[in-house]
Amino acid sequence: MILEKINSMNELKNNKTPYSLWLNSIVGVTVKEKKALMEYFDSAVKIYKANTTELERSLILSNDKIEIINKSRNEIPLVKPYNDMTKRGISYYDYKDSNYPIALKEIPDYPLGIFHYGKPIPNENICVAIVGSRRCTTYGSKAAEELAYILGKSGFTIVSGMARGIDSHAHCGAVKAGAFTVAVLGCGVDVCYPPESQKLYMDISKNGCIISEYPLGQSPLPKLFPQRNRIISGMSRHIIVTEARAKSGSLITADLALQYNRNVYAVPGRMYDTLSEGTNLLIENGANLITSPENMLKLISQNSFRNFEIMDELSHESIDELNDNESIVLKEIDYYSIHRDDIEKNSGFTGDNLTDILDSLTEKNRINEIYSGYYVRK
Amino acid sequence: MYFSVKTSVLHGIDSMVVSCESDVSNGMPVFLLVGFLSEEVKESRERVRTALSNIGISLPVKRITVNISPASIKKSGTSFDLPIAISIIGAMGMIQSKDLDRSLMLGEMNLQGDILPVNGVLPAALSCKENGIDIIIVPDENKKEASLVPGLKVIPVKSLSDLIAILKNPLPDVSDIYYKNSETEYSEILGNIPDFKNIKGQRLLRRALEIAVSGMHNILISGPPGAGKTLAAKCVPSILPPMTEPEKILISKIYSAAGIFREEGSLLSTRPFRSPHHSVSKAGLAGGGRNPMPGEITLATGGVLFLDELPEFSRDTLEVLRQPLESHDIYISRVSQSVTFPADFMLIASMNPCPCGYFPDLNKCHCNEPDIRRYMKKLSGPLLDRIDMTTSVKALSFDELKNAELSESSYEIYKRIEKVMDIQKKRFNGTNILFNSRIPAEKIEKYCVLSDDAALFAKDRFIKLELSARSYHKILKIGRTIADSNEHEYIENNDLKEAFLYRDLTWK
Repeated sequence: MILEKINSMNELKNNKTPYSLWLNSIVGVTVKEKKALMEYFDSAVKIYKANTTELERSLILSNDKIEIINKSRNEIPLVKPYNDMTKRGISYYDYKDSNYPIALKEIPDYPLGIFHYGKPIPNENICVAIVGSRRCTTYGSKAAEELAYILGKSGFTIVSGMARGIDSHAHCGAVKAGAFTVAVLGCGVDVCYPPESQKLYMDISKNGCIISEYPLGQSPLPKLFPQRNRIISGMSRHIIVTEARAKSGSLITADLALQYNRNVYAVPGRMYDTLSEGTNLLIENGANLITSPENMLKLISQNSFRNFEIMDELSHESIDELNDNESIVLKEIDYYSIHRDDIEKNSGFTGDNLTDILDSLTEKNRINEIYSGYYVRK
Repeated sequence: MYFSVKTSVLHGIDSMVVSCESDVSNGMPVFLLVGFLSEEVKESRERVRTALSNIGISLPVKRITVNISPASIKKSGTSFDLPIAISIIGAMGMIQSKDLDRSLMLGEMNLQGDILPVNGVLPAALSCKENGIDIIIVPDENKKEASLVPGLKVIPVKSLSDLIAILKNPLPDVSDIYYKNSETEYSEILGNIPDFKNIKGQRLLRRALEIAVSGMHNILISGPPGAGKTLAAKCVPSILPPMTEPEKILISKIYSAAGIFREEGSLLSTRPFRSPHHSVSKAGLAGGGRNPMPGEITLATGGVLFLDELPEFSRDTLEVLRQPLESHDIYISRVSQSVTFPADFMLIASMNPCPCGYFPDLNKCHCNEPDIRRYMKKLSGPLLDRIDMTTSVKALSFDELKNAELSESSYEIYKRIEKVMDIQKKRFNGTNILFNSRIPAEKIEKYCVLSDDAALFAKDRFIKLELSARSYHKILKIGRTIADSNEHEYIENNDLKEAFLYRDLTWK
C-alpha cells in the first residue's frame, strides 16, 4: 500500500495537475482562500506538502480550515481522479498554468482552475463571445451564425455557452468556418447540456474545446449559469449580443463584460420585437451598433487596434433571382412567423398560386415553414 | 301447465329473439328463474311477484319455473319483467295464446304493475321483421321508437292490468300509424348546426375541412386559444351529406341500444357530433362495461368525433382509438359476452401548438423547446400516423372579426363536396371502399395515379422531407381527394402541392 503510494508519487513528481485537482476539490475552503494559498506557496504541490506550521505561518487560514486541509490529504485520493480524468481526454488547468486563458485572469473573480475538453486554446487568437436568448427568431439565429462564420474565417475564436438558440447557432457558424470555438458550460465538461445538442458537443470538441470551472459530472443547475456567464465575458475581448429580451441572461453577460472592460456590440432590432428589446436597450446605453458584418469587423478592428477584413470568398453567397410575384410575397414574410392566411390577405395571391410561390421561395432557401402553415424569412 | 311468450335480448346493437317460458306444476311451492341470467334479471322475480299480487293475482302454491331460452346466451337488461309476468299468467291459464305466437313483448315493471320504458326497442322491433313476428308489445313511452319499423303492429301498454285485459280478447288491429317516412332534405337536417358562413377568415382551415370531409380524412387542427377551432369543428356536420336510409337505421339502433334515442316519431336524421370532454375514460370512449355498452366512438358513427384539446386526453385513452381508426369498428370482449360495435366516424382533433398556446408567435410565446417537445410527446406517433391531415389556424385580428361580410355558406361548400363524393362513389363502385381516406395501402398504386410532373415533384419532396412510407401514402390519399375536387383524373402537380400543405405537424 505504502509502496504503491510511493511509486505513484514518483510518477507524479513532475506533474502538478493532481495537486491542483486536489486543491480544487477541497470543500470548506473558499476559492478566495485557495487563491491566496496559491499566491503564498506558489503552487498546489507546495500547499500539499506544507505542514501545519507552514500553513499557520501563511496567516491565511483559520485553525479549522487548516484541519480541513490536513484531513483532505487522506480523504481525497490524489491519483485516481487525475487518471480517470486524463483517460477521458479531459485536462485541468489551474490559473497559474500556461494553458489557462490569459484574458480570463484579468477579471476579479477568475476561477481557480478550469476543466478542459478538446483542443488546446490558441492564445494568439482573440476571443469574441456571441450570446443571446435561448428562444430566438430566424433573424437572431441567422445573425449569430453569419457573424460567427465571418469572425471565424477572419481568425477569431468564438466563445459561447452552447445553450439552445443563439449560442448554438454561434457555435454552428464557427464550426462551419472551421474556426476555433469554445463552449463554456454551466455543468461538468463531460455533461452534454442541453442533451439534444450531442452532435454540436462533438463538433465543438473536434473544432475547439469545451471548458467549465465545475467538477466532472456536475449536473446543470440554474444557479450555475450566471456564474458561467462571467467566464464567457472574462475570456473574450469582444461580446456580441444578437437577440435578447429586456430581462435576459445575455444582458447579465453584457453587464459583466462592461465591468471587465470588454467591448460590447449589439445587433439592432425593430421596436415592436420583444426579442430585440434587450439588444436595443444595450445600444441605447452605448453598446457598439452592428449594422452589417463588414461594419462589425471594422468596429472590432478599431477597438483592438488591428485590421481585419472580410475575405473575398465569403463576401457574398450566390442568391437566386426572384421573380416579381415571389418578391411581392417575400415582402410579406417576416423574421417573426406569419400565417398563410395573412400572407394570402396581404399579398393578394390565393390558392394554388400562393402555394406555388411559397414552394419556390422555400426551394430558393428564402423562407422556411417553421410550423404547419406558419412561415418565416430565412 | 306450460306457456311461452317471445321477447328479445340486446347483444351489442342488435337484438336476438328469445322465448320466455313458464311452467306451473305440482310440487314444492317455489318460484324458480333460470336461463343464464344476470343479476338485474334475477331481481325480476321479486318485482313480478309483487306486481302480480298488487293487481290482484296471487301466485298459486305450486312449483313455478320460468326459463328464458336459449340458455347459452347471457340475459341482461330490465326488459324481461313484462314477458316473465305474462308467461306466468299464461301458465295459470288466464289468457289465450293464439296471437302471442307472432308477437314479441318487452318492458320493465314497477311494484304497482306499471310498465316502464326500456333501452333497445328499435333493435328489437327490427329483429321482429327478420323473425317473422308482426306484433310488438312495448311500454307506452317507447311506442314511437317501435313504430319506426314499417309493417309492424305496435301495441303500447301502460300497465300490466291493461295488457291482461287486451290479451283476454284477440289482439286489436293496430296499424303502423306512427311510422313517418322521413325523406329529409339537406336544408331540413341543418336545424341548429352552426353554419360555415359565420366563420370569418380562416381560409386555410375552411379549405382543409372541405377536403377532409370530401374524402372523410381525419384531421388535426392546431392553433392558439380562441382562434375558432371548436366552432369550425362544430360546423362540420353542416357540410356532411344527408344520411341514407340504412345509415339512419344503423345510427338510430345505436342510440336506442345506448338508451339515448330521443327523436320524436322519426329515425335520427342529423349526423351525430360527439365531443367528449378530455376527462373521458377508456370505456367511455371505446365502449365497455360488464354488459358492453357503446362508447363515444360508436355514438359518433356516421358523424364526427371531435376531440378538443387532444393532448389533454390521457394517453392510454387515446391509444384505444388506434384499432377503430383502422378497422372502423370495435370489438369488445368481456367474460360474459363479446360484441362488435360499429365505429365509423370522422375524427377531428384540436390542440394548442404549445403549453401557453401561442407558438410560433415569439412575441407572445415564452415556452422553450423542451416544453413544446414534451407537450407534443403527449400524442403518440401511432395515433398521429392515423390522422391524415394537419392544419393550423391563427388568431383573428380585430379587423377580421369586425368584418361584417359573411363567408361562403355551408350549402355552397356542401355542393362541391357532393360532387367529390359522387366521383368517389363511381371510382370505388364494386369495392367495399367508400372514401379516398379508406384506400388500403396495397390499392394506393391503383387509385392514386400521379401525373408525370407530379411524380417528379413527389420524388423530390419524398427525399427532401425524409418521409416515411405511411406519411407518403397519406399525402397521396389527400392528393387524390384534392384532385377529385379539382376534377382531375390523375393527381396533378398542384393537387399534390396542396396536399403537402396538410402533411404531418412539423416544427423547427
